[in-house]
Amino acid sequence: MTQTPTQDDDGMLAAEYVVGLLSSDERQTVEARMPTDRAFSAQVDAWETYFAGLNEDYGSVQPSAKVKTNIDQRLFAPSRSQPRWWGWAGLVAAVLAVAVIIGALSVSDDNGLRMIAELDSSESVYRFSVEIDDAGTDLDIALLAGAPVTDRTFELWLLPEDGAPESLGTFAQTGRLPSTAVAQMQAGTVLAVSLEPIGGSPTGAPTGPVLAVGMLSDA
Amino acid sequence: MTGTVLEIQDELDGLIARVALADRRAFDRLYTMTSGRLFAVALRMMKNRAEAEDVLQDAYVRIWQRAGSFRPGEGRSMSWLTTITRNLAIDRMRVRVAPVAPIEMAQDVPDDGLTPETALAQSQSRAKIDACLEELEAQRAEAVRAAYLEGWSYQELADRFDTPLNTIRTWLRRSLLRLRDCLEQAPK
Repeated sequence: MTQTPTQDDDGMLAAEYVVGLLSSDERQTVEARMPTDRAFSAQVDAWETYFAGLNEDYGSVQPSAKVKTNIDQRLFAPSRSQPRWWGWAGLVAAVLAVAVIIGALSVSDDNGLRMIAELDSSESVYRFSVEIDDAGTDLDIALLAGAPVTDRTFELWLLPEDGAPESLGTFAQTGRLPSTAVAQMQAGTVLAVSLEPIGGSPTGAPTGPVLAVGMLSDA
Repeated sequence: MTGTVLEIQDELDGLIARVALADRRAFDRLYTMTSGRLFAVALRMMKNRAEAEDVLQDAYVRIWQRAGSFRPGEGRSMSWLTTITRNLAIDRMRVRVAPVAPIEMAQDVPDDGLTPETALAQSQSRAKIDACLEELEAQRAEAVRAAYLEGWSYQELADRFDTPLNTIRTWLRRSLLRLRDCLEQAPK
C-alpha cells in the first residue's frame, strides 16, 4: 500500500468521501461515523464547500413529468404505511393521527382552559406546552423539556392546512401571545416551534430547525 | 444578477424550511426550481436516464425527510440539495454490477437556456476552484474533476487513465491536499 502523503488521515478520508472515490463499504463506514464524530463531519462539510463551485458544471436537464408523480406517490399516497424514520413531514402526519385519537378519548374538565397542545418530536429533546384560556384571548407557551437558548430564540408557527406557515411570535422560555393570533385557532390547528435568530425569522418563513410540532385540542 | 442569485438562494432556504414543516406547496415549488439541476447531476453520474430518474426520486424523498436538518445560510441550499443527489448516485454506482457506457449522453445535452430560476450561479466559489485546479498538472486536474463530477472511484480512474491503482491514489491525494491549501488561501 502506498503511504499517505499526509498525517491528516481523517481530512483525506473526508475528501475522498466527498469527491466520491471510496468503495461502497468504505462509504458506509464513513456515513456511520459522521453523526457521532463532529470533528470529522466538519471536515466533510469543509470539503463539500470547497467543491461546491464545481456543481455549476452539471448544468440543467429536465426530467420527465412522471418523476414528480412517483415522488408524490411515494411520499403522500394515503394507503402507504409510513416508516418510523420519517422526517418532520412525517412527524406532522403522525402528530395529527395521534391527536385525533387523544381528542376522541379526552374528557373535558373545568380547568379554565379552552384549548391545549403539547408540542414535541421524536427527533429533538424539546417539548413545549400551549394553553389557551377559557376566554380565548391569550395563548401561553412554555418550554417543558430541552435547554433554553440564549444566542437564538424560539418562534411559534401556525401551520394552515393549505399554505405557508404563519409566525405567531417569538419567545425565550415562556411567552404569551396577543389575542389577535388566538382568534383564528381552533381544535385541530397545528402549531410548530422552530429555532430562529434573535428577533425572529428574517424571511417571514421558518429558517431554523423545527424543534417540535403539535395539534390543539379542546381542554 | 447578484441580487437575483441572492434572492433565489433566500427563497430556496425558505422553501426548505417550509418543507421541513410538511408544506407541500413549498415542496412543489422547490421541485420546480431545482429538479432540472439535480437531474443533470444524476444523469451525468449514472449516464442512463432510467437510473438517473430513480436517483432523482430518491433524492426528493430524502430532501422531504431531512429538510429539518438543513442549516440555512451563505448559499448553502443548492449545495445541500446537490450533495444529497450526488451521494445517492455514488452509492448506486458503487453497487452496480457492470459500469454503464455513456451511450445515452448524446441525446441528453443539458438545456442551454437556463431560466433565471435554474441558473443559480455560485460564481465566486466556481472561480476559486477553477483557479486552484489550474495550478495542478493538467492531467491531475482532469482526474479530480472527473472523480467529482462523474463519480469515478480510484479503480475506475486507474482503468481510464491506464495508471496503476496505487499511483492514481497517491497523486489524487497529493492533488487534493494542494487543492485544499490553495482554496484555503484564496480570498473569500
